[in-house]
Amino acid sequence: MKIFLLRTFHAFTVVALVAFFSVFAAFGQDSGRFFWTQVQRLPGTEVYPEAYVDILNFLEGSTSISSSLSRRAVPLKGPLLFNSPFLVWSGREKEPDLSEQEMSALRDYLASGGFLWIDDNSGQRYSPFDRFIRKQMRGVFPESDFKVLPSTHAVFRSFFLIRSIGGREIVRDTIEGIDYGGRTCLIYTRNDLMGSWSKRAGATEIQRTMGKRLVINIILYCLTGTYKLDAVHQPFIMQKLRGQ
Amino acid sequence: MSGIAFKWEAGWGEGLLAFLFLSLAAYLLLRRKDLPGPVWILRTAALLVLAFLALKPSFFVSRKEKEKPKIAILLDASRTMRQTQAGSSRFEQGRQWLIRNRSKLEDSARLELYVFADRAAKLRWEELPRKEASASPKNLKEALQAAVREEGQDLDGALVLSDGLADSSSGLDSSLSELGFPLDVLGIAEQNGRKGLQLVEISAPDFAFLHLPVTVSVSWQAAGMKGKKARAVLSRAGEKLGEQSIEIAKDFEAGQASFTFVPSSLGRESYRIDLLGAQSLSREFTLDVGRQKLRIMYLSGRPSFEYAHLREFLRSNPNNELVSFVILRDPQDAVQVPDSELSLIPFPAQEIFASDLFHFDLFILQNFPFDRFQLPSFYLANLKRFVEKGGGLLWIGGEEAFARGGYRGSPIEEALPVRLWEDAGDYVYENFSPRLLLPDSPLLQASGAAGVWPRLPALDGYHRFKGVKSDATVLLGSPQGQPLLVISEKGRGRIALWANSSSWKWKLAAGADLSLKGFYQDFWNGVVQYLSGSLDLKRVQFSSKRMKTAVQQPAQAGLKIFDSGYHSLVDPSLNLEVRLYPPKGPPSVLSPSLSASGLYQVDIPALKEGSYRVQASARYQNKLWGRDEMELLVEDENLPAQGINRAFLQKLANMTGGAYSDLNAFSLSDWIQAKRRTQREKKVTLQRVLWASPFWLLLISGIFFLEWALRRKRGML
Repeated sequence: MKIFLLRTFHAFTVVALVAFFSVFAAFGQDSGRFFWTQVQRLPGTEVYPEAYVDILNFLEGSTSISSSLSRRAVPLKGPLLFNSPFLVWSGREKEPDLSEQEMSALRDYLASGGFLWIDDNSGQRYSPFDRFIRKQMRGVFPESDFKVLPSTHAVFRSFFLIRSIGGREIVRDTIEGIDYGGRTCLIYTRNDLMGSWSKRAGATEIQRTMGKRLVINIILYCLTGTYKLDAVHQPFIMQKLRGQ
Repeated sequence: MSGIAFKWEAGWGEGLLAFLFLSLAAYLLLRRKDLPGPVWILRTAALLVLAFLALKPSFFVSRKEKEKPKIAILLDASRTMRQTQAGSSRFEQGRQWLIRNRSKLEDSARLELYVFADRAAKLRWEELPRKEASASPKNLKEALQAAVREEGQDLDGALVLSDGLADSSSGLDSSLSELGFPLDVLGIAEQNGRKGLQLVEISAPDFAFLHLPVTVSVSWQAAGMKGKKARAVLSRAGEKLGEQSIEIAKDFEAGQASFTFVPSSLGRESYRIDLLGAQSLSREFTLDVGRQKLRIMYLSGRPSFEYAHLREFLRSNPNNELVSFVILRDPQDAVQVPDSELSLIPFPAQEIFASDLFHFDLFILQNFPFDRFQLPSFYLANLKRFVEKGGGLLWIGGEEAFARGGYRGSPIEEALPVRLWEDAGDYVYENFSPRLLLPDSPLLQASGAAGVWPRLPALDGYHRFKGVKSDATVLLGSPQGQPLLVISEKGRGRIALWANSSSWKWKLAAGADLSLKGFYQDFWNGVVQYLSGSLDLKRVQFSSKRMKTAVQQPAQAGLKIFDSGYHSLVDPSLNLEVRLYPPKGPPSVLSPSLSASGLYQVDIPALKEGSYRVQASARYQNKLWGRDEMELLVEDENLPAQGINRAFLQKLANMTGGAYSDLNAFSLSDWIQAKRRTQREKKVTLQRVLWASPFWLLLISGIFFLEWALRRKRGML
């Protein structure tokens, strides 16, 4: 019995150590690649936990982006947050309010160059998640509010030329963002863009396609900034937009 | 033509008095017919005269008269006028000429006399014989403005006697165009003139900007060379920049040759002007070249966090002009949508690597797999030449940045500060903390104290190289002795190699650790400054390390103060102190003044002969910002024999509608005739005040005496 307990203990230790170092290894080695990081507050509340796989595969196959095909989850505080330049926060229900520490950390994260994409997966106009998000962001950025991103914003042309907002459920025909330090550090979408990648029914093909494109554009916007607003691109882009 | 007008100047009181006298006269006429006729007439006449006088009559006579023009005479008394020719100085020759011809001049004009050097002083003619030329420089603009201020709108012209050399006015051309009257200019030249070609003066700015054109003019004179030709050549370090031919059509001719060129590198550049004719003349001048904006080309092989953050940092500096391209899709990537729905543009490889390459100052290449795009290798040869000719190259790592990107054996590898790994396995997927190898390097000092480095988050991924070249400097290292940040110089340019692509972590980490705030920006600032050639420890710099001036000749030294980005620092909180250290004795404090775009001017007073030091010290942001020193040599030098600058003097006359002549060829009678023709008529009005004349007093007195005599004779008294 004693030997059994000892062996079990050793096995458990080895597994724990491997898991521990694996997590840190996963957080450590991105080597210049794009990696998907989800905000984790309530375990098991993610609506589309596997959507990132399709998204990253699309990035790998259709763009020059090199991705790390693993997913990370970080809390809204602590050192891991500041090691994750691209964050996704999705949900559909109300969550516990952010603590002061979380609000402060999130603000510092976004102010120092981090990027956050929030996606409302509820598909409802007056969703509890939406009310929750707006309330939290008023605490994070008391001096700023969500603003509708104009059609000329770089996110609408960072890879695809986006003319209409897609998604699983068309709640709004616009997307919103918060600017800080001269850049849009937070983009908020209401049409369940993650749901565009789901194989569930309930959306037209065109809605899904437009939703997927917008997700790709959001990622490209995080990785290129306002690159597509540079003067050298404008003649080509305007020509393409007029051609439609 | 004359005109006469009457006017009554009486006020109410006088009017009332006149009415009283008239009333009394009327009473006499109507009521005192009992008086004898002559008495009655005399009394009535007296009362009428008194009434007339009470109304204060005046009459005005207008006529037109000729008025002489008002001319300001400006005699140049600056330093160059002390040059002697034919036994006396130019100033003396001008003075004597004025004294001799004073009466003739005054016959034709109302004269106001001034002497000028850096300032103008109005003189009485009696003071002129005691005046001497000074050691001060010439400022003709100041002299003209002083005359206009003093004489007001009355001035009809000016007569300038000068040699036209070394005028220190700024903005003279615009002043001349606003003058409103002609300048007649007399050049005080040698009687017989100096034969041959003369290089009179070179006009060049002290400071120029890289990539922006600058114009330099050389004034020349030729005497006794009618029909001959000459050439003016501008060169730099033996390289000819421009040439102009000069054809001399007259026995005496003056002209200007202008050259416009673009400075090719930063710092102080020496140029040379050669005048080649029957004889060869040359003169050198220097130009300080700075950078107005840094033109950056940033090419990234793929979107990445490193690209996004570095691009944003570079764009945030208004002194940068950034053009960037990032490959969003590789040739093998498939997107099943029409091209019209993608924001992609054709990759302008030819423009980036060939036609537009040399327009940039800094080229950033990040993780760009050259062989994937099947680009011609001469593009990389161009990149090497770009660096050799003075460009900066920043090479940023990534999986395909070096050997895997197809650069091994390419023309650019020879320019890199490292030897590339022998195969495509040169990238190591590993977290690490950089090793600080040269903490005192100015490039790294910008990032702050060495103590910050241990607090930085680990970086991710580094490159292996076969070795570091002997002329390279490794500032930061990665594990196993591999170089992380390496710098070197190639030709006139510089290269920095950053064998990593996760410095963005330093930026993000500042959100969690305030002590890291600004580290990322300062680090890349240091790298960019190094590559742009502007990284220098000195943030306080005199334009010249050595200056010469003549005894009792004030001078000006230029001083530049730079901020941490090596751009001109203009901030009220900057505390700048400049001291003059004489050969013996205590130092004195000089007052710098801010001129255009952050350049300071230090006015140095007239000094005795000797070797002086001028030291500038700046405090900013509560610390010693920088210090610099220059040497000032004050010499009692003889003026080099120099002809007058006729081109400049002719320009003064031409721009204002006046005429130029050498003094010894000047026809004073023609000038006088011309001035007489410009005499204008003015209306002169004379007033005769009738009522104030003593005649009326005598008349009234006579009338009263006569009346008394008549009444006495008739026994009425």
